Formats: sequence, structure tokens, C-alpha cells
Amino acid sequence: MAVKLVLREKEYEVKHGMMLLDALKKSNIVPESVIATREGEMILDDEILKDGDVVKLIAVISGGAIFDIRESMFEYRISGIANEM
Amino acid sequence: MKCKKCGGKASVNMRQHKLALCKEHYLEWLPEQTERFIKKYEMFTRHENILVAVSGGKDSLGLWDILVRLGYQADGLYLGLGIDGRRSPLGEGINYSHESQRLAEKFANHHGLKLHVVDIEKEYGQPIPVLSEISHRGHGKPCAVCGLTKRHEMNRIARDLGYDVLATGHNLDDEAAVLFGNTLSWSADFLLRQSPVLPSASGLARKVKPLCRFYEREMTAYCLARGIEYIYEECPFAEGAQSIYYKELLNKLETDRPGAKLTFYLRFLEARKSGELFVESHVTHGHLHPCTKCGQPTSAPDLCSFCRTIEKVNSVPAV
Repeated sequence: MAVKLVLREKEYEVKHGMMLLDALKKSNIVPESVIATREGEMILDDEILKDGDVVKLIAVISGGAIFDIRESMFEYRISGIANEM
Repeated sequence: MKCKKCGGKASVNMRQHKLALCKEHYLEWLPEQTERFIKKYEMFTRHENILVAVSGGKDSLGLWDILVRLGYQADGLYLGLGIDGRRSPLGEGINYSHESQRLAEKFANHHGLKLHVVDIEKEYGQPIPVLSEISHRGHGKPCAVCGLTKRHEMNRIARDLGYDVLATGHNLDDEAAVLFGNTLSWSADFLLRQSPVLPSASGLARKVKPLCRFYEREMTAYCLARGIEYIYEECPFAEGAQSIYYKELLNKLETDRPGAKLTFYLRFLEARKSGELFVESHVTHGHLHPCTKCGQPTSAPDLCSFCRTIEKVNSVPAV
């Protein structure tokens, strides 16, 4: 048996005994863009993956349409905003 | 990795802060930090009424949860956009809006909170994808009309219902992606307006972003640790969005250089405040006056962009 990483509908297989961080990199998954869980608990990059582990990866990036660049700015022109910070 | 506070097994590691925490201490730390940012940027006080823009996603539900836990008076506002796949060219049965509304209502009911629900189709005759199609705004994607409508409606509801402040769930990744995009094009006027707080002005509610210093990853971890059920699926129109591309780029950078995103954003805020980056007199300030139809401030001569869009939609015979 190997270790299975599941991200949305995709599955990746890696060897057991690897650190999670290395497993993500080997699978071309950007570690910053996911949170890893095993049996419902969050696990960290230094976790050593065991034979038969199923690691569910939760994508953290959201927004897109909602925050598209210029659209995320207030449409109205207000003077003096720069000095309000 | 061990929790810095209790030495137990850590569940969250924030490399940019060199801080790992167990679930219990993370759930204490994040609201404490939120409180610190609310005070630092003078967002609001405990005597003010807050309207939280709730989408059913992790950031807005997480924000609402934190504010209530901190003892603030916070009600929610959900905008029903009508993005369900029904009329979407991207497929049938996505049910994005229905599902996000269900989750927002579930959260409100579970915590005994007030949630205002505004259905765009009921208010303006058509859901967002159709408004976009008819108005020909946004180059084939409804995102421009969606953003415009949300800003208009959030401000309208906050103003009409007498809320002191409108809070949104923008996190640091959102802010860094916007900053990155506007820096690539050196959009000085947009850069000068990016801020954790947009003060109120005539007809405009104060807008605040209490999560602006938390990574998106941290908000996901918060919702998981708190057991908050949020909509995981993306808006069907978000695929290929420029902001997601920028976020992915910044996350690659962050993987190699922990803290890069935070430094990028914070250093920008400092530089902007000190006047280091731009001379403000170079920015043209538009004159604002009330829209002749809805009364909200606009720089256009008569109708605001939103009312012009709706007028255009209404002038086209229904199919």
C-alpha cells in the first residue's frame, strides 16, 4: 500500500515514510495552497506519512470572480482616503 | 511540531510568524489578533452596529463567528446572486447560490443571529448572469456586474438599515492579489485607495476588512477547527480569474520565502501612509453627487453605474 493524497477530484500516490511537505512537492502541489487533514484532523508539513494513509487536501484559494482586481476596489472616487490610515 | 503555548501537538503552523499552535490555542489566538487589528486600524467599537457581508464562504462566516465571539453587535447580509448553473453556459445544476445561502442561513440559525437576505432577481428582475448578459458589461463573464451589484447593494442595505459599518471577509491573500495586480499596472489611484478601512463619506457606509492580515490558509484552518461548514466549491465563473492566478503565484513565492505575502502587504501600507510611494496631489479626485434614481453617490453626471445597468436591462424586451 502507498499513501494517497486527495485534492478535490484528483488523487496522487506517494511512498510512505515521506514527510508531507516532500509528498506535496513531489506531487506538484503548492504547500501554501492547501491544508492537509488525516482522519479529520489537520496535519503539518513535518508529518511522516504512514503506509495506507489517506490525506485529504483542502484547497484554500477562493475569490476569483468575487475579488477580481479592479472590481474589488470601491467604485466611487473619494478624496482623502490616502491619509486615513 | 509542537504548540508554542502548551507544548502539545500543533495543528496550525504559521511560518511567517514562526508560530505553531494546537487547535485550542489557535482558536484563542486568531480572535485575539483580530481584536488587535480592529483597534489598530480603528475599524469600529463595541457600541457600533456592524453589518457583515456573508457569502457562505470560509472568510465571511469565519469573520462573523469571530466578531460574535469577541462580543461585537454583528448582523449578516446575504445577497442571492442567482448563480446556480441553471442559465450558466458552464453547466447545469451547480446550485452555487442556493447552497451558499443554505450555509449562511444554517450558521445564522445555529448561533441565533440576524441575517438579512436580499435576492437580486426579486429586486431587479433578473439574476446576475442575465443582468450581465443583457447589459453587455464584463466581456462575457458576469464578474463585473456581480461586483458592481454587490457593492451597490451592500452599501444600500447598510445605509437604509442604519448600520454604522460594513465588514467584509477580505483576507491577506485577497489584499495581496489586488495589490500585486495594481502594482503590475502601477495604478496609482487604485493603490492609494487600498486600505483596511474605507471611511464613511456622504452616502457611503464605512467599509472595514478585519481579516486583512490573516492568510487565506489561516481562515480555512479556523473554520475547520471551529467546525464551521462553508461552501467549498468555487463560484462557477471564478475559473481562470486573474486574482486566482496572482494568488497562486504569490503562494509559490510564499512557499520559498515564508512571510513574503505579509511583508508585501504591510510594507505597502507603511509606504503609502508615509507618502513614500506616491505624491497624493498627482491623484485626481472626482466630484461626487447623488444618483438621480437611487441617491447613492456617483461620479457620473446623472445615474450611477448600477442604475444605468438596470435601466439598460429593463429596456431590452424579456426573452
